[in-house]
Amino acid sequence: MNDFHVTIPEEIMLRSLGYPDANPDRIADLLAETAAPEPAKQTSPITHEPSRQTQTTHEPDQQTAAAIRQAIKKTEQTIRPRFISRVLKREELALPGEDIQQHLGKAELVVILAATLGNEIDFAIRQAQQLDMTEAVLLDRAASLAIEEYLDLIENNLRNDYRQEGFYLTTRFSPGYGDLPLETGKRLLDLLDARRKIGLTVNQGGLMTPIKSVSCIMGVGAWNSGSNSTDTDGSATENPGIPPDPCAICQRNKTCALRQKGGYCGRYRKSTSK
Amino acid sequence: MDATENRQANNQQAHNQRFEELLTQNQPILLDGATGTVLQTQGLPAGERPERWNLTHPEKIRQLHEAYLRAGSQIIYSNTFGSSAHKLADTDLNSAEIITAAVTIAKEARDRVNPSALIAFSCGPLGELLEPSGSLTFDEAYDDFTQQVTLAKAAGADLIVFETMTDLYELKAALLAACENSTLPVIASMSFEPDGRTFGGTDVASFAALAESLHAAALGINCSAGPTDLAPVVEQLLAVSELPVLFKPNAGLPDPTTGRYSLTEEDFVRAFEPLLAKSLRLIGGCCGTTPDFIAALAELRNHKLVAAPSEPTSDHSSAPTSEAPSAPADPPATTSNASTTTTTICSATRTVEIGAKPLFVGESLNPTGRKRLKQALKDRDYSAYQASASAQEQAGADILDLNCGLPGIDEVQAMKAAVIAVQAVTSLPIQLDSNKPSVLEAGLRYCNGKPLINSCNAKEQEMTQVLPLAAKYGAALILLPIDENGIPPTAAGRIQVLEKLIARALSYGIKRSNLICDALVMTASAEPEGAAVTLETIRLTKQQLRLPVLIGLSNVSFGLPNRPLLNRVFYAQALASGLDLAILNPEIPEYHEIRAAHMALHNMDPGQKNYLAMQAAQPTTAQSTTAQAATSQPATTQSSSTTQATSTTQAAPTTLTLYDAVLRGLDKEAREAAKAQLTSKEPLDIINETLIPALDTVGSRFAAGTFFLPQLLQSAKAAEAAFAPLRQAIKSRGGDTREAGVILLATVQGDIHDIGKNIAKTLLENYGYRIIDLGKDVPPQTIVERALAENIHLVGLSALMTSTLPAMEETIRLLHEALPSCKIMCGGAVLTPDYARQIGADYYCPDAVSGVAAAKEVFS
Repeated sequence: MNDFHVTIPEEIMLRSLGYPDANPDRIADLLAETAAPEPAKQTSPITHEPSRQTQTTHEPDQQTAAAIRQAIKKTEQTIRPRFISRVLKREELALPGEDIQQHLGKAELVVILAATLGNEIDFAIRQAQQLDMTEAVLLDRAASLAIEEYLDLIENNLRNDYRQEGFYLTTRFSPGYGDLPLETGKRLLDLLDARRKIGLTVNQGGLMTPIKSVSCIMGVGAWNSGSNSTDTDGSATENPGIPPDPCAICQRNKTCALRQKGGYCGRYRKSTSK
Repeated sequence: MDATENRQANNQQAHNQRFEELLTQNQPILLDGATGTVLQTQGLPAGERPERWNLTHPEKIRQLHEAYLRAGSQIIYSNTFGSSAHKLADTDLNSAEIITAAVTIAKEARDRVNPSALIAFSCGPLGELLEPSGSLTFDEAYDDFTQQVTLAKAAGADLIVFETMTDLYELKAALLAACENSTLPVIASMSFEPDGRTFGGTDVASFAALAESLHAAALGINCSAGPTDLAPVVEQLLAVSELPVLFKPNAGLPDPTTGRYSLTEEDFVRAFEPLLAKSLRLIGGCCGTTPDFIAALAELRNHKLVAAPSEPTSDHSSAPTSEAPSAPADPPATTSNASTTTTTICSATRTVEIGAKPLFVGESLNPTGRKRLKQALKDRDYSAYQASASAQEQAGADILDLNCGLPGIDEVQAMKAAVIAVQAVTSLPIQLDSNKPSVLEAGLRYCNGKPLINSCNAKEQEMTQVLPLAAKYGAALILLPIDENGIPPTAAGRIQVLEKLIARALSYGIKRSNLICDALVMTASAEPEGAAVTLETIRLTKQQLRLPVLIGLSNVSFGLPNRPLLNRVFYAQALASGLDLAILNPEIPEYHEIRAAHMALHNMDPGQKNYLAMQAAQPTTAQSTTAQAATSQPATTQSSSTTQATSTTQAAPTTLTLYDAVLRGLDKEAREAAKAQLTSKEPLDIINETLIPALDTVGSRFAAGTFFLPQLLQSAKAAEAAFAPLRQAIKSRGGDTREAGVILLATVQGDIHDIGKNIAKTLLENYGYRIIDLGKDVPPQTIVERALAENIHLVGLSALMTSTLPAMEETIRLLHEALPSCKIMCGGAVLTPDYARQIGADYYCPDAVSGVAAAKEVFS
């Protein structure tokens, strides 16, 4: 059940670091130059070109590109992803707030799910902070993407399974989104016995540890009952559980730096693009 | 009162004996099966605590115990898995009523079905991760376990079982609580994943080393998966454990929709069968198993296992009437064996076997001669210890020596804090270095794993203070051949003193396999024969005492020129004499080379594989390694591959100006450029005219959105690399590296996301500010106290989560009250300028660069 293989797409990583123009092919070229036996730079003194200053496209330099690639690799090797889920009837799980109700729409069942990448990546990030903050920041970012990537795999897999049985699955909604309190997370983990099943706990401040963890709720409904409820947006008719603007309920949708640059944090990437 | 206490003591003695007897029977002891999952089938609602039923449905609990006893269970677990104060915190239940009721019910069931059965108090994890992964402290965990153990003992439990543990540090707190507050036998059981590690990352060997060191009577594996999946892990445990082994797996895996477990009792027993032949001593079932499973297991056991168990537990069966069961069992002295005894020590995730091959003990966590560490101890900010620990681990150290000795500080507190800080960033086992027993004890207590004590000499007073500590904490111990008469001048004399020490250590119940001998290195310039005596001591220790030998290497060259040369030659000679452990600086690549060569020459490196790999990884001009390369590029055996690829390609650094090197984030080039500038300029001028402007440019580009975070940090690292030779030059020219100001940084209480704070710290340090870093999850009072004590003018606070903003607000309020002139800057993802103003922050810092701007303003 935990046999999803998590990979972190380089393009997503570059964008989430703020390199909107980054192109993986171009990065590959850059790195190929580095790896070449005789560095091309040797004869042209680099002092003449004050480096990043003149760059018009926002793409990483060689050293950064190599560090990013290395961080992705190390993250993929370090994580121990695992999840636990459980299906409940809608009425078995009373949830505070409006947003989650709206998100679940007419779904009759809810899937509660918790996933974590494990302690090892937290340790690696902590350790990297002692020697190289760049690596630490890159590992931290890569791990954040990895957990979302992992959840995308699980979610899409579940959605396909449900579709074959004639059900739709909403996107995932986590405690802390919209007006669903963070404290709801603890209840979800208790219901899932997540401490025992996947080693995921909540501290007194309500934060999950290991840090790279997610708990979430998804709705399940019969294809007919929900399909007339939401917008006529393309994705919605394809799957009534997917909201047209996933950022709408985010508290930071006005201030989000990524959104201002035309980026996104990746939470809804798959659901909006497919 | 006396009579009851006596009776209780007698009872406990009886239970200890009864458990010992069960262990010596010909068959494995039959435990019980699940409680929680059975109660769910009987109507326990989702989310309801099984422990509540001890109060509301006592008859159901009793009937379940009785069913297990009738099925053949010789030990039943009380329904107390989640009875800790922490687990019950958000309920109306409390530990005392639950534990008393549960043990009483179990006793009733026992008396009705099988009066000779034993009752194990079942104690699960507290449900929260301990520091550093989580925020629960070791002391809090210890207190909770102590309360439970005390209650269980009073209620009449016969044994204590810590089960389903996944965090070795939590298990250590539990085991300490048990042995300090009761004499009941203790079983330690962890949950392993089929990959051989717990969720916390602990491996089987480290678990065994820790459980044995803290006097568990048995150890084992429970929960997580079915018998087949866990079989390889159980076999690993059987291979390394000196103690009886327990196995209590699940009935396979649960179905996510129905919650039903995958194995029937027939499947379960069939999967268990091959393991029964492997000298398991305690067997049962966990989640998903029922009395039927236990009955089936009983039948299997009775049919399959009429033969006596195999020999590994022979010391138990041969002497069942031995006196105090609480005394740690000492295996028969294996002096007949020709090879050296090996000693095992561990961290939470790594076991190191001393005596199997030459190892490095990193020497750098010692304030003697290290200004930054001295400052760290004074500031009680252990990040310099953490940085050095990480650097030594990366350089290939096997063990880290940790010393916090500095006049005028509270060394006990320092050792505690340093151990906690260091083990947060390294997976290496720790060698606790102090001549003060109270400081050693602080280290022994808070060390996650089984440490090595450095050291104990043969003076009466030291032996009576240190040996009991080593015995109690089951730590490995370095023995120093020094007694009231001083250091014996001959090797034979040292062996005599060591023999005396060994005998004393054994008399305290310390295992011989936990002892290591120091051959004592003398300064060659003062003692012409000293080096030869040390080498002879190494040889004799190996030949006669058959224990691992250690030396502190660098003392040999004290007072002589070209010390590295003398150290290297002496290291090679010591290896040839049989040395196991050397305390040295692992960041010097030559030691790695000498060790690899030694192992290649003496058949300790099959096929010279490691040696060949090391040579292949070296640049062709390896011989001409400069001192600079020595510090920056330690020869790691497990080279971290591609990171090097970018930086090692070209060493033509002087073509790049310092300014550009910083802008490009190239640290080696920046350092070389700074050194080059030193020939013509004053270091302070270089800092003010080049380095700071470069950093400013980086900062403004970051602010303008043309530089991104990774680049900012690489530039910061390059600047830091350039500062190193400049600071050195200032110092050697008699100047003082004045600090631009002192800033207190902390991530507020409840929040454990501190990477943003650490980014700010990196940049602020670049600009010459001294940072006192209080870490994460810091209570408001602590921040105020330190700000007052250090007369701080600027405090930086970070919080990542909405839920921890109130803690930030409270901290600011208290700070303004206590220190009206102190400015406060705040940062964190959820913070907005408005909110920052509203809660009273003086500066809102959305990123590290704006933190520098705030600092410049405050200290202008």
